[in-house]
Amino acid sequence: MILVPLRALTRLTAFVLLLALAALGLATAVFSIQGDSRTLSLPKLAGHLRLPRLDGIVGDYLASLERSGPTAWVSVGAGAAAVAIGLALLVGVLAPRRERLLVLEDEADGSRLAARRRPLRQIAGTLVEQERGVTVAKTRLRPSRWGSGGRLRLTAFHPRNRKPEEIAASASSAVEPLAKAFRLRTRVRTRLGERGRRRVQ
Amino acid sequence: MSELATPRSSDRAALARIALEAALAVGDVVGAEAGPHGAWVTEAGGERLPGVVAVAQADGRYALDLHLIVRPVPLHELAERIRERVVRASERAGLEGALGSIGVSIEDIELLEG
Repeated sequence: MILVPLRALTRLTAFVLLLALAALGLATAVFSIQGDSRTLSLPKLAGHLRLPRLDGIVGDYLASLERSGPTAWVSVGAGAAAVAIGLALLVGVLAPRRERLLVLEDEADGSRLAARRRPLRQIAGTLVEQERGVTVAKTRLRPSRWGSGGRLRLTAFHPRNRKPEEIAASASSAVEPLAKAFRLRTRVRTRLGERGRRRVQ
Repeated sequence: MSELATPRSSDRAALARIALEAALAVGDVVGAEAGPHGAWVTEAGGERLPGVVAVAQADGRYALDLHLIVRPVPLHELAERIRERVVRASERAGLEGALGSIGVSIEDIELLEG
């Protein structure tokens, strides 16, 4: 689940960096029109960006960094944080995306049969809701990140006069053919149906 | 000035059209799905073919991916019927040599009413 915010952060960072790079490139191009220290010259741009002052600040900082003291420790912490952020961004870029398809067959010649999660969830839900004693079924389907198969989580709601074990067993057997075909690991939970939560037929 | 050759539909576009028509002719196939932002569309001579993607393979043939909406029927058998139809149709068109792998993705299932 952490990959979703990481990917969003990676995209945002890439966008902001590209924007900054584009602005910097444009500014450099514009301030290269003239030479010496005229209005549109690079020394003027450096002055606008207060680079000489920044040079002084960085110089002072580097001098204090050479001595042992709080500045060095702050720098170590900042460096470690930068490495951690860098690694997180790399994970956001390189981690494989979850295939939203469930593969039923994958032949050596490249032919494959696959199905999207939504119809399979609908099928699983319908199969479970056909079982006696099940009022409503909720399904969650997560394809495996690597290869075929995935996990199917079922929640079967039942009335008070039904035993949860019976409901779980019948729900499991109802989705077994589907789970077997798509190599799904099934987990069934039962919950007592809430008042007003009733299937209408 | 040299005479321009009449533009001819490419094998890729022709295969995509044939495959889509063959798949949609199968009884339990309800329709084809163009995908998010039209990602599963093949442009064939100004014509849009939603639900089919033809991609060149390393061996020069074309891999076809069909994105379909089907009725709730056994999917293995349905996929086999679709593949058979596509292969036969490509043979009739003389394009069997260009036909590579055929992928079938079930994008949705149209539940029967009542």
